[in-house]
Amino acid sequence: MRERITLITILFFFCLSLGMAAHGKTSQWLHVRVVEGGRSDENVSVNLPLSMVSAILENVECDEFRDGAIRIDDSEFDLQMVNAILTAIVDAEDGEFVMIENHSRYSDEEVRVCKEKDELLVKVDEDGEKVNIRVPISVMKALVEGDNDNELDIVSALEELAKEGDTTLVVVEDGDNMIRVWVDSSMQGI
Amino acid sequence: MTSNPRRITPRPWAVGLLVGLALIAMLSWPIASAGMLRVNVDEADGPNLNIFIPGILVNLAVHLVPDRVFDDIRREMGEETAKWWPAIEEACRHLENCPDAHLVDVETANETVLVLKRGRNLLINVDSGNERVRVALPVKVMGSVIRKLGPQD
Repeated sequence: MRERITLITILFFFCLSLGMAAHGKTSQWLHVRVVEGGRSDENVSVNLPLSMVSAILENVECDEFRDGAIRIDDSEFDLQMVNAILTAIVDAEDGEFVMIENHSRYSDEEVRVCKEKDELLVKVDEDGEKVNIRVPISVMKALVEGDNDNELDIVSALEELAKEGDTTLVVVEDGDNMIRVWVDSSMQGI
Repeated sequence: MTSNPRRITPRPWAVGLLVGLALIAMLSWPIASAGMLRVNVDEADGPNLNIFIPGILVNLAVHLVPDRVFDDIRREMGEETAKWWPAIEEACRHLENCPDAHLVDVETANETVLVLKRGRNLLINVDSGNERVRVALPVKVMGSVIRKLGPQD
């Protein structure tokens, strides 16, 4: 009898730890921080489970956003071309695609677009304002592989993002101001 | 010589007590599980407002209020809001299973807004210059109201 109780207790804790491990692995959180320094001194912090964001977006039905995808019907914005560029980036080897340097009397600007370790990096430094965008290639693939040519599949991209683990997506720094968007497994965001 | 086994006869007061306790447990469970809707407004230069509504009353109201009242509210909200309703319902469904967390935190020089999930409640705390607002909404109750207000099949 005693052995049976011990066995049941061990099994119970084993299942509990498995459940906790599985839960920890799957629950990714999307974090947004906006810090506005200077006179306004405003801080905004948003922490939402990525699964919740996906589920909400899947249910949004408005003119441009339907079935978790953005439909772009602007004739000036050639989404097919964008898709072709994104597909080319997905298939390309690691390397630098774009490098713009403009250090003149009137502006100090640097733009760099490159692919590094299955991530697309966009770095912009314009007169002290720095923008860093980091998008995993799998996320980009999911974004353009929608059913229609004029759609960006946001929900599929988010599902891919959840599989990627901890990822910083966007960092914008401009003096005292900062915007950061990232995904990790912590609820408060590290 | 054989001894007769002692028969235990239940006392009426003990049976009554047991039945009473069982009834209290049966009635208090749905009340406790529905939670309590709380609104507390503290104003520096005005009266303080405290509202406590048991969630079960809100649930009851949702079922007892005639459908035409909800139809009127739906009409008032308009088609534009109705489009977003499935997304709002989904957000509520996810909130029920969401672990405790600080969901939104806005801090300005003279105002703080905090939206957090604590247990079964969604808490909204607003602190501004001379006003302090605390709202606790049981997520399940909120979900039942939102489902009722949403488009009906």
